[in-house]
Amino acid sequence: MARHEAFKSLGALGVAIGLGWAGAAHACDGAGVIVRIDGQPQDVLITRTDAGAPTQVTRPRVLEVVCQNDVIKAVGATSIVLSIDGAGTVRVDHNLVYRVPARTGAPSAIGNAYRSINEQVMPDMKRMPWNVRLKGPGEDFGFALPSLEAGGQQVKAGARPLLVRLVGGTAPYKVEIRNSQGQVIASQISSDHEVKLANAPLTPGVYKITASDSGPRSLDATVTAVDAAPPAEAEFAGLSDAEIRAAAAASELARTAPGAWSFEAEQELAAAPANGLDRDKVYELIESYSAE
Amino acid sequence: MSRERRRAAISFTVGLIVLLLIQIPAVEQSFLGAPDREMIQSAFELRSDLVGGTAAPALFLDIDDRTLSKLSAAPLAPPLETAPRAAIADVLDFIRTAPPAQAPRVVVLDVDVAQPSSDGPTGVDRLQSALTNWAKSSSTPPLIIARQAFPASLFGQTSDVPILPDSPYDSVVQSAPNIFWSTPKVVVDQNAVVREFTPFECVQTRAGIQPLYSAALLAYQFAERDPNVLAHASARHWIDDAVQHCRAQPGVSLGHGERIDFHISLDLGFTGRVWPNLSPRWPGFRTCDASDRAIFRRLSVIDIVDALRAGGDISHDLLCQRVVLIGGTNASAGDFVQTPLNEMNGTAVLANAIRGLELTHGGLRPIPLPFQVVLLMLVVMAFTFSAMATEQAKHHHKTLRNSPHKRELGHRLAIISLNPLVLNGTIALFAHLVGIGLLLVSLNFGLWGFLSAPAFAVAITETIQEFIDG
Repeated sequence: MARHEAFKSLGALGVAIGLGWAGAAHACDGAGVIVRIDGQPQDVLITRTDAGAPTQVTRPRVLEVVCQNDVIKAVGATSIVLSIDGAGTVRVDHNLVYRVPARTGAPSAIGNAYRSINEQVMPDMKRMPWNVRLKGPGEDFGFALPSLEAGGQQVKAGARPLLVRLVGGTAPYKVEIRNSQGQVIASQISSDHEVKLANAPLTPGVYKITASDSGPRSLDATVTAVDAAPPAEAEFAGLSDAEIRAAAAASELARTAPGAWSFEAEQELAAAPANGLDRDKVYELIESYSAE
Repeated sequence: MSRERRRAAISFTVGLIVLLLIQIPAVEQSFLGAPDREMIQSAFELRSDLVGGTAAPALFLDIDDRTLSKLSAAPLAPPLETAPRAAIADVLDFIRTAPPAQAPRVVVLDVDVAQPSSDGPTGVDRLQSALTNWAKSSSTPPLIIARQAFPASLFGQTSDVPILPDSPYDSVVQSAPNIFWSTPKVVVDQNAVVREFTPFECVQTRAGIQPLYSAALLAYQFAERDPNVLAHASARHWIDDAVQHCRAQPGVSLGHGERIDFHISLDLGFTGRVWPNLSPRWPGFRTCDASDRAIFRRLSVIDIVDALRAGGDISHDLLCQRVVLIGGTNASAGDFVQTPLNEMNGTAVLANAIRGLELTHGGLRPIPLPFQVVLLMLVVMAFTFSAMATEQAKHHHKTLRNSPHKRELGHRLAIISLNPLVLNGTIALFAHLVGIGLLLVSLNFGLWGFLSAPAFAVAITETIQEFIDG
């Protein structure tokens, strides 16, 4: 049972006690589930509107249902991952506020009929999305690292090159890094999906990465530059090939902390000397860890 | 008029023969059953993910690629071939410790735990311990574990009866009152599309030849709340049939199985899906938190395992009165099959089968044959009336030929539409569409029937007669 308490107003509390349900759960329009809490559960604040009065869900638990219009905030270093109906996986990082949307995108009889006819008429094409069939590749523009857009990625502070990998879209691509005041601190145009910014002066703080293509379509992501180094894995120190060593360490870092250090893991691999490794495969592995 | 009567009688006879033949499962699975399979497939597609109902909702705990990759020893190590037993044990312990009021109706473990464990003897010991605790507890729900039997030739024997290999958990399961071995096998048609599940298979064990019942059939018996419905469930006859069949002809496999009411389309990209809500009449709402009303939820097992190993507090709300399925959409197992809706994971097929049995009050039943014959008669009448109308129109055509307006497009289209091939094909297609419409209604009552193949047979017969009669 969801352990939330009616407390916001004395009136609501009075009604709650009068009806005998103080602290008990109430039916709401469930719109998702908490799948992970990274940090302290008490640092996740969920404000729910219950019978017109806001109530607080204290100490939410993993696998607890969240309701439509719940306002979720993670305090401090705690973050929370939700599986939201119709929206997929959503990460709420520290000091961000997320309102659970209404359930949308439910199947309909008309949609089913269209899909059925579509598969009958174009059976050989049905494995490809419609936009790829009609317009060719390039429409599904995005960051190759899926969790970048969701937020929560950290990168080590300092003046350093940055690699931003993109997928889809139409060349040329442009990537800009802005500081918290909105000033562009680094920018690069590339005809390649791998946009390499030669020098990004990152002091500790929050930075916005904006990627755009010639569509023009634009994407934003937020990363936080921190002084702390990511956890290092000593197990690979004995590997003689520096590129292999960097690939193994980066993969391990992304595997153990996909929501926080995947972007940094790609930077570590990008910084390693090239020695013939098929890096695309390793980047894809790193990106797969944060795919969900 | 006598000619129309003769033609109608011949067409009806042909349609009736097809209708009777198609009742035989072997014929139904042949090309003759293709139009009706197409008809029921269209009905399934149109109603997919729209049926709420009062059947117990399903919670799918998915051992997905993410789970296996996170449980892997090293990032670039070869992927795990099977789910680590310790992780399965963690999940079972989590379910077992749910407060009795929030316990599931039934738990299905769709992982063949007899296969070599990817986490070695430690994992096996851990799962043995979890199963032992499960068996000892009086408040835990039934646990149904899917197993795979193999041809006897793999064990150096010549028997026709497949062998269920030993497993490290046999002693626990055999003495447990609430743990059952089962089979997840399905029956496919000539296009390798799953339409039925195998209700049982006869297997050899150390205790002799015995039936291994379907996981769906066993789970349904625990999921169904109404004892009256359960007692009259059409699918229950398999339980009695199994004992006799395995005694009399254990080496003969069943020619057909129990139809699956596909109503949830769990394709690969279903992580963000919005599932329909349960009916407010679902009895589980009396004891469970009513916040989650979706008929289906999928959760990645790694999220539960991570939370458990971190010592976190985990809610049991989502287990409450549900059918919990533990299976895997991971690429290592490659457990994907083609279904009338889409390519689907095997555990998802089980979810459809279990909920489908409950939604159809014990299994899809054919519409009584007399009713199907009446439908066939209506179809034949439609053909007869159209033939009579065509006769009259033919006379009109002769005047059309002399008409100065004969080159008008409308006249030409009218002539084309009266072509027997076009006309009879259109009527048969219309019957097919009517059949889909009828199925959309009748499936909600657990009924299905044949109409399309007999209608097309009548159309072909009518057309041939039309040409013969000139």
